[in-house]
Amino acid sequence: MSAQDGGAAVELTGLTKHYGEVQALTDVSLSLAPGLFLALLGPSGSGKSTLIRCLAGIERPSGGSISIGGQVVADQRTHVPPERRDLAMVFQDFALWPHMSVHDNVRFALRRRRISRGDSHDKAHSMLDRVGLAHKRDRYPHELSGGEQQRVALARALVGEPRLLLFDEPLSSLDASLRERLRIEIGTLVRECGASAVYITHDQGEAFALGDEVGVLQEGNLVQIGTPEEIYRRPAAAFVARFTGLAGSLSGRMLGVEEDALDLAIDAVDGTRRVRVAVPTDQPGRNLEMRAVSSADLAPGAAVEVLIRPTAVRISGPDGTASLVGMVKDVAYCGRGYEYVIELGSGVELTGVFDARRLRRGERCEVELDPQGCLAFGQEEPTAPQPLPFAALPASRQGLASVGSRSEHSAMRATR
Amino acid sequence: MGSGPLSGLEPAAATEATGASVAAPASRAWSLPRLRLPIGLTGVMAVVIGVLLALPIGAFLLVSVAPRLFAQGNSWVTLSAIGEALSGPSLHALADTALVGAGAALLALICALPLALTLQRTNVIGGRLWQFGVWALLLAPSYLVALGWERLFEPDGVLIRAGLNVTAFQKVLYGPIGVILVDGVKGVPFAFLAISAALPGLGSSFEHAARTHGADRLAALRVVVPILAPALWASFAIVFAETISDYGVAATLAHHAKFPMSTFSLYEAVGNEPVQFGLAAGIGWTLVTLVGIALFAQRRAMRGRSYQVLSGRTRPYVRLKLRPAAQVGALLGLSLFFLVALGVPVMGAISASLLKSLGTATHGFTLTFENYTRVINESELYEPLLYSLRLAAITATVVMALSVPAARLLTKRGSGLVGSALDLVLLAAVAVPSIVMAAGYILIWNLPVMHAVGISIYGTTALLTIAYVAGALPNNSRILIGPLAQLHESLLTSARTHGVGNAVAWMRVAVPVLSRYITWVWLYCFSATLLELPISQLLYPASSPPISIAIERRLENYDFAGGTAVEVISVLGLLAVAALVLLGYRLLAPRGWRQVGAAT
Amino acid sequence: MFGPSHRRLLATAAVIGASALGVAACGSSEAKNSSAKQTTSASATDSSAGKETLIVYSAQGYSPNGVKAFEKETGIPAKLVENSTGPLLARIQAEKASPHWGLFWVDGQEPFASLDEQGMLEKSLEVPKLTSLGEKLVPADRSFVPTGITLACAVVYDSKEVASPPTNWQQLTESKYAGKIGMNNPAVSGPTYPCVVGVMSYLGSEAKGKEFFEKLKSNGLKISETNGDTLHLLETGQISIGLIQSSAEIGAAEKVKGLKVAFLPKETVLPSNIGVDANASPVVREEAQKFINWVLSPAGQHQMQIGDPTGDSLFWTVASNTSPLPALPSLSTITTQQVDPYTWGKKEAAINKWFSANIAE
Repeated sequence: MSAQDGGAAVELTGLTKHYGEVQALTDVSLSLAPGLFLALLGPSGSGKSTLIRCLAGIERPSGGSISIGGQVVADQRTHVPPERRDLAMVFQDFALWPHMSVHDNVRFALRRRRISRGDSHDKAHSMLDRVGLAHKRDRYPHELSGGEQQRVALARALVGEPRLLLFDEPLSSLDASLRERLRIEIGTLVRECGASAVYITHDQGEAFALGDEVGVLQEGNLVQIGTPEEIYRRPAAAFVARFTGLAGSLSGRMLGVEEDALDLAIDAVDGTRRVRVAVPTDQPGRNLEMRAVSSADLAPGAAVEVLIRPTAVRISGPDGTASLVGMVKDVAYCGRGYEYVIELGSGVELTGVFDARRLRRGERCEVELDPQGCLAFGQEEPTAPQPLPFAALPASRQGLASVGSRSEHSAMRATR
Repeated sequence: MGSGPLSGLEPAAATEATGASVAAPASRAWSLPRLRLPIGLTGVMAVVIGVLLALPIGAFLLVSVAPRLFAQGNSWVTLSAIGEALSGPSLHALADTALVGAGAALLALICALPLALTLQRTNVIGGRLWQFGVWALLLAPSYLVALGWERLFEPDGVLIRAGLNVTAFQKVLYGPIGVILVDGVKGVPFAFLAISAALPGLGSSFEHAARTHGADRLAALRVVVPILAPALWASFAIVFAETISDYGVAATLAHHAKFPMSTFSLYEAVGNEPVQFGLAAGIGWTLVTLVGIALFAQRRAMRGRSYQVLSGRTRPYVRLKLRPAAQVGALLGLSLFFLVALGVPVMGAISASLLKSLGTATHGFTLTFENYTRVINESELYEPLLYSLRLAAITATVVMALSVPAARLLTKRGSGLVGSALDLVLLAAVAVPSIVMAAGYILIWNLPVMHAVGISIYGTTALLTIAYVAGALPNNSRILIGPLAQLHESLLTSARTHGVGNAVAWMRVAVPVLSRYITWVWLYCFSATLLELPISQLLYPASSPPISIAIERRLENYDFAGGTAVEVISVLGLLAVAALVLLGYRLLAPRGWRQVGAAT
Repeated sequence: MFGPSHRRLLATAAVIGASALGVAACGSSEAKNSSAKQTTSASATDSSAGKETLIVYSAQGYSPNGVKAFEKETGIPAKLVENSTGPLLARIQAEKASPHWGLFWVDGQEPFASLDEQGMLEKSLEVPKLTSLGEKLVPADRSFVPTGITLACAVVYDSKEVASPPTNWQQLTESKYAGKIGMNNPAVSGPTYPCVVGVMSYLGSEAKGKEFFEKLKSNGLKISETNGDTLHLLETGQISIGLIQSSAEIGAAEKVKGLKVAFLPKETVLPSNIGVDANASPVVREEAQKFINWVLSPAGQHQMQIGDPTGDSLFWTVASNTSPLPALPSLSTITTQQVDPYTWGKKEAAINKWFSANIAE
């Protein structure tokens, strides 16, 4: 293996890891093409740390195999130690050796390249220059700020031109403004050096911004992997949708697939279908009928949950196109405009709704939902749905609200 | 003076302690900003340490330059004693002492580092048991360890009588190497405690960072170990100070090997005819200077660098799972270490006491309990034993109470001039053998002015106990420095923000966190005091001899086997008390207390 | 409401309280001790009898017996600090500003001569009737009184290894004894100093004595700390001849089969002596005189003889009223000499230092 060929392909097959009784990773398989940047997204306890540590060779998998650049580095019989995997890692706590100067920390990673003292010196220096810290090369880690420390860690990881870079939540211990700047630096520098990268985070913004591909982990399972757009538009599970950003959710029952031919054609492209969902209101027998998209084949009458992306919610004018009526509960100025929390009543809310106009707290407003951003998922264990207040329906719709038909009742019965 | 091999029976522990300043850098490096304690504490401890330690030691050291102050000579000011301490045999002994101190400190480090890493960072089988072994080694008096070796390996000792040819090893043992071996092994617990205290602050990512950047396991260790430098330096200084002031080995193995050490010269000057306090005090100065040099070297090595680990988010270390081969290797290594450290001396002491007198010209190899039945039937055994047990318990309890605030002061930053002075005094207390302190106690407390103001406590149990406390305090405080450094400020501040006062916060938060260590401090102090000789010799009240005096008199009267038997009985009594205390802790301490630190 | 300063006070009070408790606890145990027996201070008076406690500093193996019996028989309260001579002298030295001891009872004359010259001993003691040799051991100023005689360095040998013991000092340097002889370091073992200076005195000068010891050294002389250590070497076969105090030798020969004792010409006598603190109260000084009289009485002699039957009790009597224990050979068969403690005492530090540096190392 040599650094000159750029990135290494990474292949995980059936990767499993358990600590005693605790299952940290279950049968995770994925492959990453050379030179790509994979962001692994998951909440704490989802197994993402375990996965990256298995990749690094710090942990030994309980089952499955890992290959890097075509070489099997871990399986039932093999365990290639970290130092022989030709990779580098950036740690959450930076892990700069406190007794070495900044320069020495960076130069350490060149040891395995077996280059001359002078060369390693120059390389370390130019790497530090690239992260803007050449002037602090003789400082000790404790004399640097958090952001500077992480830049040193980045320089240390990059200087040896490894074929695979691993990032273990490198930005989580930095403050928000620094986080964004460093994220951009990481993206740029990694792509410049051409290495493959695996980056774990619990922040979807980070994952979407950095990853050529994004994988989502839940309780040790890789739930979905795909481009950021795929993950956002067609989340494979309610969990993925939730973890990648929601304005709110409504529960209801499946009415059926939308019969519109044009829509069908469009939907066929990304494999989803348009569906109609009846959302019950607090007036018995009165339902709101709404449109959504679903990637699963849901039978009419099935209990569903409609997860609404913030981008699908638009505060509409009084033009009669509104889907729902609510009241501004909270407004947060965010530069480009305002982010609203809109209360529909009975505790049902839509959050993160963007609009350029300024509305006052308590002000009545009408919202429009884009069916493309309303994602219907079947509920595995249907619970009594939280009814939507009938008052949240705009006057134009109140009359249209469907009265439960006999057929629906029988369908419901049938689903019981 | 004393003459038996036991004569200076100074359970290594007795007095010596490396002061705070020695260990503090280690703790300082890893700890978060310090907890705030009552400001008055510094003052109170200054008085306590001043009266208990500074006054008597200072008085004795003053004798070398101003003997007339304490009616010890005619000159008001003279440098002749110090000159004598720096010439001839005393100088030779000083050089030997420095060599042995450095050698033993190095050996202790070499043993303690892998020991701490293995016990704290791997899943080696029997981890708890090995830890217990470390404590047992701490409790074992150094002269017993040395005598154990001698009894086994001396010409016509137990092994030779058993028909083994050990003459080659004998030559090595009876020389600087043997002395360094015994002193170094005795120093391992101190180094182990200091390193163990630093290890939790050293999360796993430093090592992982090295591994992922191309260092193999060994190279990674080479990266990580220097991060422990403050703890390693502190360990070095601790063991160095312990060793140069230890009398137990100096009076036994070193002396028999014709390898003079400073402490021995000092005891000779104090305890032999004619008594030469001036010379003894002069030697005391040289020992203080040696520790000062060690401390200076430590400061120099640390200067300009910081080992502070900024992040509090360090990923906790997951114990390395040893593969079967490594597991076997680790177990073999541990067994070997404890065989050498504990097994040999214990075997030596026990077998010698069982031999039908190391001591008959019949040269037979017969084991017998005769010596035990003989001493057990002697009534003079019980009164001194009970007296010593009682004093040891009181001393241990007082030291336990005082060592927490003392350790607290030692770890505290910026306690100003008073703090630095305390640091120095505790350092001096480590460097000078306890007989110096004992003589100082007589000088101070028997001054006519004391009697004039109605303080006549010389020759009472009270003063003996106070001296025991003073002897044990510096050392025991140091044992607590490490654990105390791990006590994050947030623990106490959070207690205080929830509405309890400082004292209550300490009792409810700090004491539980430290309880395990405090228990061991009690035991360590108890065991060291039970067999303490130098202080006892000079301060014991008439007609109330402690057990160490009883043992010493027995050996003095040529009853070797009987003396050894009494020793073994005392040690058994000590183990019984230790078992009781540990059992009591297990039964009485709330479950939560026991959880804390159990994993480390 | 308690202010912060008050709480601080409480915290420190807790610490002090804990330590005070400890001291109080030991104080109270002390009190119990004292009420049962006596207070330990020399100057404390016995309220019931109007007597003061006589504090005896002694290294003699029979002193515990002796002090107990004295107290019982005379009703004079007495307490004992029993230790080796060295630590006792260190105590006395450290106490110099305000002496605590009343009576000092150890082997050897040099310690007494040294204390006497510092004016620390009561002079003109009353000396009970002694044997003629005993009389010779009383110094002119009567600052100490002999209570028994041992010899500083007789020969103890392993009869299985040594067929016939040496009969004069020069023989000890012969090659047949190479590596077989052991003795103590006078710098550590008090009774060895009279042995060393006895040899010097016998050979005619300090220089000749030193030459002799250097010859012994080149013949493999083994130096130990104490009688016990030298006996240990003998019993474990590391040497076959020991030159130590006669009482220790005779005791060892009693205990261990095969060990025998022999005497060389002009054995230096090593008497046990009693001296009295010059600064003690008149009451204590009077009690100390009574102690001397009692020790040299048949009752006191009996206690000395039963107190340490395989050690210090093996002395030749100086009290004219008592015969030595049967284990002791008659002193008349042995030629003896005395060394002047006032002359040789002054050289003790220098000679010990020389011995440590040149012979012991």
